Amino acid sequence: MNQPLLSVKDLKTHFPVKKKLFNKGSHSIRAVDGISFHVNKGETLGIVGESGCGKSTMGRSILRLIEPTEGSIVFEGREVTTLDQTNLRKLRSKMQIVFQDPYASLNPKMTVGAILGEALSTHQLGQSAKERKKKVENLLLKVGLSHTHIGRYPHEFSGGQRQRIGIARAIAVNPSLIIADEPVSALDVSVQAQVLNLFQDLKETLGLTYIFIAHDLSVVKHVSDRIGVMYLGKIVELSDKRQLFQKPLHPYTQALMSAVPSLDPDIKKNRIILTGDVPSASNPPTGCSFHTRCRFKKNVCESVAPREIEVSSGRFVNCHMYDNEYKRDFN
Amino acid sequence: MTSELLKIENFQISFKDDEAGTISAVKDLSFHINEGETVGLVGESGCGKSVTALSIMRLIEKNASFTEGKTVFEGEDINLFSEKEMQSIRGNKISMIFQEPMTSLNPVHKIGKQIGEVLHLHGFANKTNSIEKTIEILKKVGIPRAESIVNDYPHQLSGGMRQRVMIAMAMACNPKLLIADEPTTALDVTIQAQILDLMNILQEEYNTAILLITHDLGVISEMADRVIVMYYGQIVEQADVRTLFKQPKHPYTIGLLNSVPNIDSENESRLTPIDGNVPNLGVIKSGCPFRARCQHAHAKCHEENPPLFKHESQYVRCWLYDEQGGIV
Repeated sequence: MNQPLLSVKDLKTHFPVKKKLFNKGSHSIRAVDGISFHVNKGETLGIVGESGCGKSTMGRSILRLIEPTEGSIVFEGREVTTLDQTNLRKLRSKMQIVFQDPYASLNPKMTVGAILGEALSTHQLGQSAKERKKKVENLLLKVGLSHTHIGRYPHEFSGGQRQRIGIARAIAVNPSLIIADEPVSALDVSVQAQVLNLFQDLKETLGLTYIFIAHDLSVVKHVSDRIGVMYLGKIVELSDKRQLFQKPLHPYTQALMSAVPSLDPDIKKNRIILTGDVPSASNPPTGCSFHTRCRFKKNVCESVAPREIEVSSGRFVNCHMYDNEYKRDFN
Repeated sequence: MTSELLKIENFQISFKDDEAGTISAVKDLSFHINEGETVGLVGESGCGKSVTALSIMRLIEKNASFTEGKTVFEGEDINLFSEKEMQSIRGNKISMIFQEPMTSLNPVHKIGKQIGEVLHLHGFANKTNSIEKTIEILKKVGIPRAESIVNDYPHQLSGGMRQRVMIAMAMACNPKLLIADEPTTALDVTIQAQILDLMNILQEEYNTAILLITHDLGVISEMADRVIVMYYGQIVEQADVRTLFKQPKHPYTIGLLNSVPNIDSENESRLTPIDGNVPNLGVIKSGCPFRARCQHAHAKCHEENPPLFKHESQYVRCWLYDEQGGIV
C-alpha cells in the first residue's frame, strides 16, 4: 500500500491567553483541537469551514509557520514537528503555501523578478543569476504571465495577476504539496475562475498535491477529491467529495450545505437555519462543540465529546448519531 | 397592478481625479423598482453598483459630480429636494444597509441609543418610549436578550448580530425602500442564510421594496425578482430572475455564470472564465467596454458602444442583438 504524502495525527494548536491579574488558571484558545487526516499523493483535500473554525491555523501549523502545541505531522515519511530550523527550511521547499491576500503577501518594494528569484536562491535552485532569471521567466509563463512582467512591482498588477505571482513563488521551488489558504476569495468571480483553472492545470503538469482551504463550499467542491468539514478546531466530517454532497451526515455539514444559495432560481432549498453564532474557541461548549446549534441535540451531546466514527471506508464523522453506543438515543 | 416606487432616469456620475481628469463611473443608467419588489444589482468590483446606491440616497462623495439624472421616488424627483428634505427621507422612507456593519455603526454609542436616535429623529418615538420601541424592533430582527443588548456597544456583538442591528435600524421606520449594499458579503454562509431569511420575512410583513446589491450570483438567484447586470458603469443586461439565469443573453452575463462553480451540478468540467481583467475606469473611451474580453467582438464593437436592445422582456446592451429587437 502506498504511504500517504502527508499524515497529520491529533494536531493541536493552542494559543495562550494572557492571564489577568486576579484570574488564576491558565486559559487558551484552542484554534486547532485534535485533527487527524492524511493526504495522498496527487489528490486535493479540501478543508471547508466558517471564519474562526481554525482552518488557516491548521494550514500554517502543518508548515510550522505557527508552532503546533501537540500532535504529529509526517511528511514524506519524516516527522515534521521535531525538525530543527535547518532541516525545516529544507523541508519547506517541498511544502509551500499560497495566501489569501495577494496584496499583503508580496513585498511591495521588490520586483516580481526579485520576489521569485529570492525563493530560488533561498533554496539554492539555479547556479548563476542568469540561470535564475531564466527560471523566473519560465515560472511567469507557467502561471500565465509574461517575461516582460519581470521588472514590475506588485502594485502594477491586478488582484488576479498578483495571485498568479503568489502561485509562481510557491511552485518556484518544486514543491510536492501546496497548501492554498483561501487563494481565490479576494478575487472577482470572473478572475476567480481563471485562477481555479490555473491551480487545476499546474496540478496536472507538475504532479502537485493540494490542501485547499476555503470558506466557499462551491469552490471547495469544484477543486477537491476529498473534503474535510471543520467546526471549532475539529474536523467534524471527512469524506470523499461525491459521497459528502450526496448525503452529508453531520448535522453541521447538512446545515452548511443547505445555506449555500443555489444558482438556479427554480430550486427552493429546504434550508436548515442554524440559530446563534459560532461559539468562541477560547471557551468551547462541553461535549460536542456543535451541540449549542444542533437540531438533533440529545443530553449525551452536552457531556460527552463524540468520537470519530468510520461509517464506511474512508468516511469519517464526529457525531453521536452514528456511534453504536449512543445511536438509540436519537431514535 | 403593482405601482412604481422608484425610477432612476439617465444617471451620469463622474469623479474628478487629479491625474486622469474626469472619470465617468456610471453612464446612462435607468431602471425602476416597484413596490414590494426585490431588484438585484449584480456586477464585479468597480462596475458602479455601490456608487449608484449612494447616489440614490445622495450620499456620494464631494469629488463626485452627479451631472445628470432624475431620482423619482413616489412621484417626486428627490434630486431637487433640499438637504433638509432629504434628511427626512433618509432612514425613514428609504434606508440603507452596508457591507461592513462595524464601520457603519458608531463605536462609541450603545446600540439602544443608535436605534433610538433614528426613531426619535423621524418622530416614531419620544424620549420616554424610545428604549421600549428599540427593544421591540430588536426582537423583531431576531436578536436574543434584546433588553440587555440595547446597553451593549457594537464591538461586543458578532458580525451577524451587528448586521441584524443594522437591519433593525434600517427597518425602524418601516421604509418603502431598503437599499442593501452587499449585506451578507462579510458574513459566513450559515449567518448569511439567517440574514437573507430575515430580510424575506420583513419584506413580506412591511411590503418593503429591496434594491439588493451584490457580486454573489447565488444570493441574487435566491432573493431577486428582477436582475440588473452592470459592467463598467452601465447596465448590460436586465431581465426577470428566471430568464436571466436560464437564458442569459449578454456575453458578460453568460461569462459570469460560467465562471461560478455550481454547487448543485454534478458536472465537474473546467470552468470557463472570462479572459482578462475588468479595465480601469476611464481607460476605455469608445466602443463597447466589454469588447476586449468578449469572444464575439467584431468591428462594430470597437467603433460604437451599443445601446440597450429590448429582446422580449429582456434588455441587452450588445450588438449581437441588434437586428432582433428595437432600440429602447
